[in-house]
Amino acid sequence: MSGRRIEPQPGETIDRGCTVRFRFDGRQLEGYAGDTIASALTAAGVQVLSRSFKYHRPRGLLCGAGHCPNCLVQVGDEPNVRACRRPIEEGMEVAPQNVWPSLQYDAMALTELVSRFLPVGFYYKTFIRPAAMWPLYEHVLRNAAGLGAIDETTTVGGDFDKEYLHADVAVIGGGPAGLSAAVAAVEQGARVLLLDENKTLGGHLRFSGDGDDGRTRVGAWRESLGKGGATVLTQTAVIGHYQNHWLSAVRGNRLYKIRAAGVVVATGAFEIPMVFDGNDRPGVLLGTAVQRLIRLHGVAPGRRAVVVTASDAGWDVATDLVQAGVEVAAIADERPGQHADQRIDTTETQVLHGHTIGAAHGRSAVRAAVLVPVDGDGPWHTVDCDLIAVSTGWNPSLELAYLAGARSRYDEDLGEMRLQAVPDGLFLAGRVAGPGGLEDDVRQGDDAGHAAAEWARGGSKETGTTAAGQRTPAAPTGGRSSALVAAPPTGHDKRFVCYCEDVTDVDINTALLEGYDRIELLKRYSTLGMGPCQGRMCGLQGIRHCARDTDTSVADTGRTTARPPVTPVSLGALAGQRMEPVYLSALHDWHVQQGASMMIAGPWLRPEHYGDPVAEVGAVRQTVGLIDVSPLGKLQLTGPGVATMLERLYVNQWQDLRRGRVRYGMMCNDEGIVLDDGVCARLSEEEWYVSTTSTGAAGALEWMEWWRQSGWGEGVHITDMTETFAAFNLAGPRSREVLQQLTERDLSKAKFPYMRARRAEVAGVPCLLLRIGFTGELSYEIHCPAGFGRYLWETLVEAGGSFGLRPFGVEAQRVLRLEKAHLIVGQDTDALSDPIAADAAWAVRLDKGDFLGKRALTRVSSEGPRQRLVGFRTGRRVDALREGLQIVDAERRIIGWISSCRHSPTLDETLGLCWLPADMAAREQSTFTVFVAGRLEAAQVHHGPFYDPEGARLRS
Amino acid sequence: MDSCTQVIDVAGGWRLPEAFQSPDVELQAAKKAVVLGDDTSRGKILVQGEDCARAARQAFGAAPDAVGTWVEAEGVELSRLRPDLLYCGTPPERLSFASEALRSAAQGMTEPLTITDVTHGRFELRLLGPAAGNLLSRVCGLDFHETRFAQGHVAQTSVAKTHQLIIRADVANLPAYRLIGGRALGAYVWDTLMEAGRDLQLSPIGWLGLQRLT
Amino acid sequence: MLRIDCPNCGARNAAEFRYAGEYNPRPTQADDDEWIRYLYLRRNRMGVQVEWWYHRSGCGTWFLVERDRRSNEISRIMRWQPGVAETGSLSA
Repeated sequence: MSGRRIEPQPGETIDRGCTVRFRFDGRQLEGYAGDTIASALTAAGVQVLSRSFKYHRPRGLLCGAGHCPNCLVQVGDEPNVRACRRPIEEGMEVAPQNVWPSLQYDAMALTELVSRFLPVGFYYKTFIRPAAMWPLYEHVLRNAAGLGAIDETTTVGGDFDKEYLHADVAVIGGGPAGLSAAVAAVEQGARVLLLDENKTLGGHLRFSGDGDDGRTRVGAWRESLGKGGATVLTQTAVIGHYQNHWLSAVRGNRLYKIRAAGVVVATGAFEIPMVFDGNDRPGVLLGTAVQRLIRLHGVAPGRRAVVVTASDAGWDVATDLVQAGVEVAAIADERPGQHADQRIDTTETQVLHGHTIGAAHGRSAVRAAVLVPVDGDGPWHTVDCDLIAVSTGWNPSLELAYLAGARSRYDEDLGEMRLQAVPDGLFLAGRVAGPGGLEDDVRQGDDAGHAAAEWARGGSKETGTTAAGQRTPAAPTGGRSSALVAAPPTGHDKRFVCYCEDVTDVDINTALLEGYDRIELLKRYSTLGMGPCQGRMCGLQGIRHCARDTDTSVADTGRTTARPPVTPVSLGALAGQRMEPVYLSALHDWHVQQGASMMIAGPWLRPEHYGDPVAEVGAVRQTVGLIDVSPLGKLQLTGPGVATMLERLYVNQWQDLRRGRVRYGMMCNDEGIVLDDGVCARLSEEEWYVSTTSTGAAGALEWMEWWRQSGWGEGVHITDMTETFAAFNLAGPRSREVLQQLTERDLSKAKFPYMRARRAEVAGVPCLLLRIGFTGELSYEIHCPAGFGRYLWETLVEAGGSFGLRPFGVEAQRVLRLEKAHLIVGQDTDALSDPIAADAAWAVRLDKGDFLGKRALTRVSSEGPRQRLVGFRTGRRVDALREGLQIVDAERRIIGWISSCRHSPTLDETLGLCWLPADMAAREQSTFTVFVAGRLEAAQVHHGPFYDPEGARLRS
Repeated sequence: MDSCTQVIDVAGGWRLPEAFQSPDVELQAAKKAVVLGDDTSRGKILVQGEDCARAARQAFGAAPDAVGTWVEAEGVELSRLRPDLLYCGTPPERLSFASEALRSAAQGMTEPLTITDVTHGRFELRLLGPAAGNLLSRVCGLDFHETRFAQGHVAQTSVAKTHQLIIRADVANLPAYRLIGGRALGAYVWDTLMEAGRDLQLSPIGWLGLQRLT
Repeated sequence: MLRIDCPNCGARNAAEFRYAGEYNPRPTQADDDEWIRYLYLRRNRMGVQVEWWYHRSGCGTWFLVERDRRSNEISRIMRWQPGVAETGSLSA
């Protein structure tokens, strides 16, 4: 292993006995089990992990905490993997992102040379004209934009799924505050769920402070949680908080949807970078990143370091560096006066108070740091180094608290956001609520855990809120953040505020000058904070820049709205397991075996045809056909109040319908618009069987239940029988003969005439038979228990064999009904169609009592509809006529449209239904023109059915 | 559905998978992880009306008073879905008994009562084993924790984006659930559960295995 | 996700329900103006409104929810009964 690996550290998470081989950018490398990709690469001396989004500048590890975009790499087919979080695995194939043709020589890096021609808002300004050029622009931009590569031929990242979790108290963050909160809640008897995004619990105790003591305490907390039955999920990132404490979290390929009564947010704080010249050069690392590498992975990220700080935190980092054998060449401490730490030997290390960093020199790796006086007054110190550890500022991880509705305000004294108010059931503990010492964290976690458990038990709102400002920021050991908006410029290099989108302080200033002077506008125009880190690295810096350059206080500048997901999530995790319910008829397998072409019809799969829809139409007209109509909505209505309720829900009359009879029915809403249609059969005085359209079945049931449950359903029970019964329509002149073979029930016209319902045993199966005729032929709708559906269907097919029976599909049925000019609700009607206009005035009984739509239809009836649904024919075959085409007048103004159109094989002409102005529709045989792709086609108005207008066949 | 070794004829004219591997192997899987079985042949009756519980008590001597609970009486499982709706699940051979008992009880009721046999309209699956609750949490937002949905509970909810009735009916000290939903979605639900439970070692159990458990 | 207390089933995720707009009872006697208000005009309150919900994935109950549309806070859940939303009497 490389010389970057140091002596074993007491709390390290690597197993030095287990070597793991992987490849990066084509190179074979080694690390230890427990290494992250980033720690293994650092140990191997690899500093450049990727190139930046816009300028393709070389980038290396920066935050080490899973926030910044610098270490995003491609792992196999999975793009945008955070190298500082993902553990290495044997044989893993890792590739850098945003590089072409290679990491070392990147062609797009030339964009940096022309960067003064790539100002902020470049895309908006440049690529808008000439418009004809957009396809070319788009092609180039699409290739230049985006992060990583996706193989569109496979499922990236394997299978994904989701899981629901439930808890009394969900604790987010497994640091000292979160752990003590979880333990306190468990001790209160609460069902606790602890979520942490790291591999191991402990938060900053893993890599800072007195390691041994920290580990002992974490061990004890863990044990208490285990005993208390808490669920602990590590490597789990909480990405959203929604209404009523609904959390979403991602762990690997699983998305968790979590419902908690109370939530403890103990998400801590994260270190943020400093704005200085060349602040993105590989070798510039945040202080905690350095500590993580040393203490968790036993890796020294450099040989000669410069530490930049504004508090004692930087001195901790310097101490860790010295202990790891790294030479600390200089410490620049922003604070004036003496803060010398006896752990640092000042004879070895140059200590510069009142100084900060002005520039990092170097290109693919840091060569030197330029340290400058904070007040700009005094000489610069150029210090050779290969590592710059920046420990100048923190920001609390308030994102989830914001999503939950918490408010914050910038605290000038602390240099960070402070919480103002939190919503009910939310409790904050630890560093997220303000700086403090370890014991403060633990005590506050304990309080929050107790309060959350009490809240979950139904505690009062008063005790349920952790008031903001409860924490005293006295002598914060974590340290106050740098007071500087940015270091004094040295003029050497770009100064990045936003690493994800390559936004510099100059870009921000330009955007402000252009008038984008509100933080939300600034964000959208400059794309500041819109990359993978979602503003974690740059949010506060952007606000400070905006405040400074607009002469506003930081507090009054406000912040941009927090939105989920807090951290990037793969689309696969959001999609989860594919769950698309599809309704299959009891005959589905038979249809498929017979080679049916299946189509989606509402929630169902139905046979469109069995190969030859024209022949299917012919069979029904000449002999007999059989269609599966199981998707029809089927409702059983029982009780003394059914007739009364139907009178109110349907436009038709029902009280007079006698037992054993069937009637067509149409439902409208109070606007008089057609909602659904079907037939209602009165099986006995108080038992009705009602069918609805196949696609509208669920909606019709909800509609009926709505009225039933809000005053119109006295003495009515509705039972959905849609899936209980399979249903077929046996249609055609020979259908009686086919069916009569299988039943003892007399099917003669005298005993079982048109529009009647009869119970009968068919081939031993108890059935309900309805003599109704959508197809226009003698036909029987057969309803039988679904489990016997296939048996009965096959029996019918066999019985009809000698009569030339053919199964027919939806397409043939559409032709058959069109030959009869029957409308289909939803096909020939829309959200503006009333039954009078839709040529169903015969069904509307305005002389009965109140019903849904009566008032509107009374008006339509007296004034007459403006448009009417009417038949049309052409006398020939016109394949160009299609559904949806517009009907135009002599000036080619649109006056109507075709709602249904087919070539009728029976009549050998193209015909259909269309919407026309009422006066035109009233004139039988009047000619109109249809606009077909620039041409005009003529058609004639036709009244009534095209086929068998007297209806003799269906009554036969 | 997954391929089974043989189809068996059971009461009511139903044909069901006899076994997928062998009953012994399937029983072991139920004890170790979780199994899914097809129990669609069970009788299913809906009793609607304000007097639904009174009628059931008269017919079977017991009825669930609280919505969301079920009781067993006379070999029949009675679930209270709403104050005015009772679901009655029966072994296939008890369907006609239950149906007739309810119908004769209905005669004496003052409020209208509707008794509907929906046996053919619903699939019935059984999910058994220590990991059954975990599997359900992959497809359903209900809280299946022991303290929230214990033996004797019943709920109508969304499972794998379909409407279902879930009955907690433990078997031989194993957590077990009946899943009852629309027949036309049976194949979809079976396949979806099988996929969701892959990493929990979910396997199918046949009729013989189910019989030996219950 | 909003959690809604179905008067029959208890607290469930909002995804189990259908939201069906503000409570808009059908007038029995109405002049044209009132009828037009019923048909086409919604109050669209920024604040507390009474609205219809339907437990689609559950028990199939239609019920009324009184909800603050700014905060999503639910103050009352009611089964329908004549005049329930007007008088405010609860029957859950």
